[in-house]
Amino acid sequence: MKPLAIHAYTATTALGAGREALWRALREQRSGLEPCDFEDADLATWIGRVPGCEDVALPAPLADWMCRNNQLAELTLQQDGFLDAVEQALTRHAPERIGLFLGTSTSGIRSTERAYREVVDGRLPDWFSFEHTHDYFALCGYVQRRLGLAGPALTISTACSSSAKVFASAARSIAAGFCDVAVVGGVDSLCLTTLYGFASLQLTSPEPCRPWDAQRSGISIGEAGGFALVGPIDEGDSGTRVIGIGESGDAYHMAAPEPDGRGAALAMRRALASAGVAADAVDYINLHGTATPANDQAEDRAVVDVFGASTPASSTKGWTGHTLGAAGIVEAVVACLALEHDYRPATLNTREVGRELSCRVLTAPEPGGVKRVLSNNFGFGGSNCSLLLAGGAA
Amino acid sequence: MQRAYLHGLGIAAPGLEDWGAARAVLSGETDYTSEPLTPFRTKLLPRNEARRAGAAVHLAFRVAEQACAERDASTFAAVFSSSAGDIDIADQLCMAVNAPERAISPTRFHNSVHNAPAGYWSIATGAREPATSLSAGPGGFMVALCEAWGLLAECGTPVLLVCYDMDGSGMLAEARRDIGATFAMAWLLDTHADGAIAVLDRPQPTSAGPTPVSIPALEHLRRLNASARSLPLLAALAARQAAAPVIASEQGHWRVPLTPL
Repeated sequence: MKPLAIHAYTATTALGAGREALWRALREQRSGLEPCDFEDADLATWIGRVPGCEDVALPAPLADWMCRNNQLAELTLQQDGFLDAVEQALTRHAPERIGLFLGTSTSGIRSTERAYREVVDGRLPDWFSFEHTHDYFALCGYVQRRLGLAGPALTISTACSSSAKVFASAARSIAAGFCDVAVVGGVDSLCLTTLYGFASLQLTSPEPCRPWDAQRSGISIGEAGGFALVGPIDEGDSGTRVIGIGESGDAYHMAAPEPDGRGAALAMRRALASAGVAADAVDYINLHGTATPANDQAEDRAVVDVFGASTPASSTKGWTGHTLGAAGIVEAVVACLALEHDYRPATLNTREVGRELSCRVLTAPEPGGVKRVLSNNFGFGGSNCSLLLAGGAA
Repeated sequence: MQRAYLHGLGIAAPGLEDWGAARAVLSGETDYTSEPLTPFRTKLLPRNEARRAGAAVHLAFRVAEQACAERDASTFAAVFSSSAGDIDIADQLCMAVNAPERAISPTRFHNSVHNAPAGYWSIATGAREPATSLSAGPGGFMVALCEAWGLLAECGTPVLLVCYDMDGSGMLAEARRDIGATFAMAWLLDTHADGAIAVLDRPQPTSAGPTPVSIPALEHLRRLNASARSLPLLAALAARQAAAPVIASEQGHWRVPLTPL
């Protein structure tokens, strides 16, 4: 593939607004997870909740789009000079030439959950608007208006790979000439459907998630938003870039990974092939690492199959929780931070690595020599996506 | 990539049971009547999986199977596009989380993901190629066609494009924008001309207004249903006439030149 330059990027997670908050917490080994206190959820689990999300106001002309997911989108857009970067891009490109590719798993479903509490005579309350909140495209609808973009816009919703796959769609759209540059990203916010849904599948952990641990017992659900402005490499671009993308399907099961991780391995191999680099050129793998027994086992086999057992790898879900449709962009931002600071984060909450797992998972941070980072994201329906990022020097 | 070739197609909507029926209606041979769709259940999935799959999965399979027509689909990439997917599952989940016991069915929950049709299709066909599941509001067909175009250029393998926008019966379906009626369509696109039904030239943005279809009931559906916005192209195929209709999208309108072969 033609590499994509990352001109600007940001993420807002349970660790706070903006990438600096994420970076500080990664350095300080400080988790953003806390016992579940979302609405009146009565679940023995931990969550990654974005502080102050419910207090965010939307610009008055966009008030119709009010919902937790768009509040989180707004809060995220305000960080790290992202609005300025898009404004700058709009001086070089017509609004019709800037694409928008965003991922989410549940969009603003929280508004519908609230509306269903106010049903009278079988009718939803008048304040409720599906199109502005719960519709998958509502996220794009809001962000497109907020940024003043008019190019191709779509929401990708492939569960937990959604906001990794947006990079692939953006790259295709740019290569095909449908847009010049693109805003990519993802936003997923807490809701009862997700919390109770994953609990019904017995996939939520009663303690903060412990990826790769012998005692791992499931995920901690988190919410997050993230955005990046991407485009072809221009002369003089010396920053981080996406050099490879691999997508694949498991062809196995709707809610469980293929035990040998063959689909996951295929996504990683395709990412390497599209970048034209060998496995040993990768210096760090940010694992999907959700901390369910089956997911980590399958991913471990896939990583060892492609890379052997010596490439340093870690999961950052212990900091942010599993942010589902936002996990792809959050972990792409972690990859950018790892490249920028030449630093591999550890795997938080992991005390004793499971004996059945053999990839080189980091339980302490490891600085130095980080030139290329692979980020894995896998979702329900067997939807896999691996991104390969390189720093300016590589 | 300047051209893509259409190798198969499928359709399902009231009064448009399959391509044979749709071709007769769209070419003016027979009058349109809005007969309800006959029930359909895919035979591609094992019985257990087929029973668990939701209505959107069966609808997507219905048109995808027509478009693939017995071909081995295991090497095809895919784009699945729907504005709201299976809106009745969301209705049932939002009802369940507000009920006192909050008992969510695990099957219903995993069927609620927007990529359920893509996931089941991968299971049914053994396809491990890239598959995009997207939503683009009322512009779903045009945006999905551009995504399929990009995927075909990138992968070189055939790309299955499936667009489906489904009616619902729950409170949520009533509260959303009117989509008219269920409409689903599928195209199988490839880079080579051998055996193709039609050739498509690269879509171009245009300031011209959208092209209508001549049958009033279907024009009504085209205006309301994101997937039915493909109807002007399907009408050109049915009439076996070259055309370059303008397809509506909220991200601007696009002219799509199509020549039957």
